[in-house]
Amino acid sequence: MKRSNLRLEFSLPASFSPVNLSVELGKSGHSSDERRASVKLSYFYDTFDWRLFKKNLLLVDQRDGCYLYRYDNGRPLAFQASKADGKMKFLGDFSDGPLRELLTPIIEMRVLLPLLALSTKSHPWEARNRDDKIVLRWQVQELDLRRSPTMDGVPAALFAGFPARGRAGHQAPPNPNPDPDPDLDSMIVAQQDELPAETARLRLLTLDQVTGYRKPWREARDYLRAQGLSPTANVAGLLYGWAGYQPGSYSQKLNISLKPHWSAQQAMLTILRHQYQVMHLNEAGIIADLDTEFLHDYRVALRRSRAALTQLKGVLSATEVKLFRGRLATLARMSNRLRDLDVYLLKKEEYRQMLPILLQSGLEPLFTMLELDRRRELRKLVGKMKGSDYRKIMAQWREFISDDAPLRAPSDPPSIEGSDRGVKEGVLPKTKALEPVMLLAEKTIARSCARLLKNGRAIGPDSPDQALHELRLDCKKIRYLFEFFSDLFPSPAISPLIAQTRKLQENLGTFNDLYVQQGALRKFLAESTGENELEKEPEKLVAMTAAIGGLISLLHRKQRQVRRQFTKIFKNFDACEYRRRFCPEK
Amino acid sequence: MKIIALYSIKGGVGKTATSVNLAYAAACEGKATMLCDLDPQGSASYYLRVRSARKFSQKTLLKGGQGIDKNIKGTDYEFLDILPADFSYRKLDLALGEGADSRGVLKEVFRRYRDDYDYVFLDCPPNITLFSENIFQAADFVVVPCIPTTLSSLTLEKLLDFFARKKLNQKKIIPFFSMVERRKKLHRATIDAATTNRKKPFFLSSQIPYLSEIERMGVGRVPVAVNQPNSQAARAYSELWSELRSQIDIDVE
Repeated sequence: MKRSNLRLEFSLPASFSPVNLSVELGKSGHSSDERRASVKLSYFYDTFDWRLFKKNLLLVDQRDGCYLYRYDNGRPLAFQASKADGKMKFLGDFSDGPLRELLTPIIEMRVLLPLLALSTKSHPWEARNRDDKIVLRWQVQELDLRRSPTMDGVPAALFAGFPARGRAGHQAPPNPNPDPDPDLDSMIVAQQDELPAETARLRLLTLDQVTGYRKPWREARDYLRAQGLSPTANVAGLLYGWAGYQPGSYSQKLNISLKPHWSAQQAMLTILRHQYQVMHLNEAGIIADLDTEFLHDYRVALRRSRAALTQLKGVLSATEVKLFRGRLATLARMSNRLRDLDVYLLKKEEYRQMLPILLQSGLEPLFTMLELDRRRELRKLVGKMKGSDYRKIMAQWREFISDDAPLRAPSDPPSIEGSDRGVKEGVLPKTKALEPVMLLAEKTIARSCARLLKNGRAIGPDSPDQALHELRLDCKKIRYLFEFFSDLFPSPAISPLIAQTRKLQENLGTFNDLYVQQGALRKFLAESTGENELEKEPEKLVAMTAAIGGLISLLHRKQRQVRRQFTKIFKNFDACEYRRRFCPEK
Repeated sequence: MKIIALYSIKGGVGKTATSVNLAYAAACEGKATMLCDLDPQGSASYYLRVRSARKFSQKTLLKGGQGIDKNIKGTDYEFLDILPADFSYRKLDLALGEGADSRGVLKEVFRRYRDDYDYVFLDCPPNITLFSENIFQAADFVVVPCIPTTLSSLTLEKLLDFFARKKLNQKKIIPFFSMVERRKKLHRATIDAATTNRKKPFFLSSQIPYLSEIERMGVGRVPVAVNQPNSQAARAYSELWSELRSQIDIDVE
């Protein structure tokens, strides 16, 4: 209905009997009937990073089809008839229509996971007036909730990846003052802990106003309130919570809000622990190959960790930092090729659209090959991630970042197992660990900003492409610093600068991507022309060569365009008045 | 939002039964529908078991806004709301007459609801007055039930004349045959004449037969399709609605 009626939802204690409500309404001359009860099975879907929930949306698959609701007002936005199967879904599993249109920009390439299976028994009631006209509707729903880790194809480990919390009694009140220094162990233990009971039972009473009949509605509402019941604003959140989820909790973004008075070490460890957690949470999704974004988030967290180790110098033990920089780089290398292939495959449609229809079919062999390649790369990565070397690196890394020792005992450094490094062993070098993080932030930002300016200003129209690639790395560094430290600065001062930096990085990133893509296409062409199979089908080879040739020249033209835009974008960054606040030039 | 007025100069032609059953048919398709009972006799409201509020008067209707919002009532059927009749509609004509240029007042009132409803059905009082003129202005379509008799054809002529005189759009008028008794020679002849006649407006090909179950709506107080969805009457209204809907050529999202 377009006009939405008032609706209130109450979570019912076991002692409450709906008959009481009908008795109460009877006092004002309304007769109540219980209608036939019905049972239905439904599944709640969301992506691993709660993309629907964060937009107040709820996707429910039930017997007649898939519904997309606004969960804050229960208003259905779109529907698509289908058979509920409780299987994972991608956008491609929906047919064209309003539902798919609404979902597309939100979930993009992510997989929708059946997070919750609900069996709902509804007992509808109607209250009628002396004209036998319905004046109020309510229903009592008995819900059996089940987290769905046993669904086909969804690994149980993934659900362990959702940060879960214990379900003590009704709703645990949210902690208004979260621990400013989240303890890594408790963060991790919470995920690895036994999951809360697989099933939970819940009773809800839904009160629906019939338009224009306000009195019986008020009577019922007031009666329920007098019974000590209070309406629930967010039923989806309540249900997810009951099943042991913390809806909306996962985010690849850094939302750790550092405080200016923290020590550099506390801040750095907090950043690294958060990155560790993101990596850890995504492992199961990568291994099960649910969608490409598990690996993407994992790699972003890994990159951030490495950037922190490289740029925030003198805070943690230098020897160990050096050791782990190498180890994390090894981890990153493990998935470089796979991520590249993911990116190409995600661009499949875009590439096709770039070419005239005549040439499009020529791309097929390319993508077939890439898919085969991807399968191989994935197998390799999964093998490594399941292996003992990988686990050891992760465990040691976790141990390292869990250690607050230098903060407590600067004179008693942790000994490095099997270490035989140099004379300074056992004596901490001059440490910045206890300096306020603010100081560290300002210094490192100023330093990388200065480098970016120097190198950027040196680039002219005739500079080689290589100069832009190097500038991209400088720019990336400063982006990471902003990500780490933006909370420390007042938003009006830093936001415009962050925006300028992002534009610059986008420009340089696109430039680089286009360059790399052309190279990859050329390489592919060079390798595949010598292949026997295609030799046998010269027509196919010609079509493919034409398509790839066309693609390379289009990418090249685009790359030139992006390069032309660079000058202006860099000037804007350079001229940004907020830039001087962070990078005062001598 | 499309506004469909059910109108006839002549009373007792099945106008109210049609508006109730058509509105119900529209709501059954999941379209947000409002039935406006503008007939002071309040039969549509009675059929749907709704009483009007004591305080409601033509003043609040003409003011639009909050006054009428509060009077909209949900029926027993999903997607179907009703604005119940009020006896003071009898005085509406007078009230409208007081304003200098009062044509289009009603149109303004309904404009407020264009995002809330897909269809608004107006069950109109039988006569031609200033109020009817307001209705003709506001409505996108004026659906006219006609009993296939000479007298009924004459009243349709009268309505067309009125439209011409007031420079209203005659294309809004969609007549159909109501209370048809095939066994009567006159009914058959009138219908035949109308179908061979190439003159506009063309009658809808769906007809509502004369059926006692329609008359009995006053006893059961439910649309005919509620309890007997496969009855002759229910099928007739459902066919009438599909034909009307395709004529209206609505792209209601």
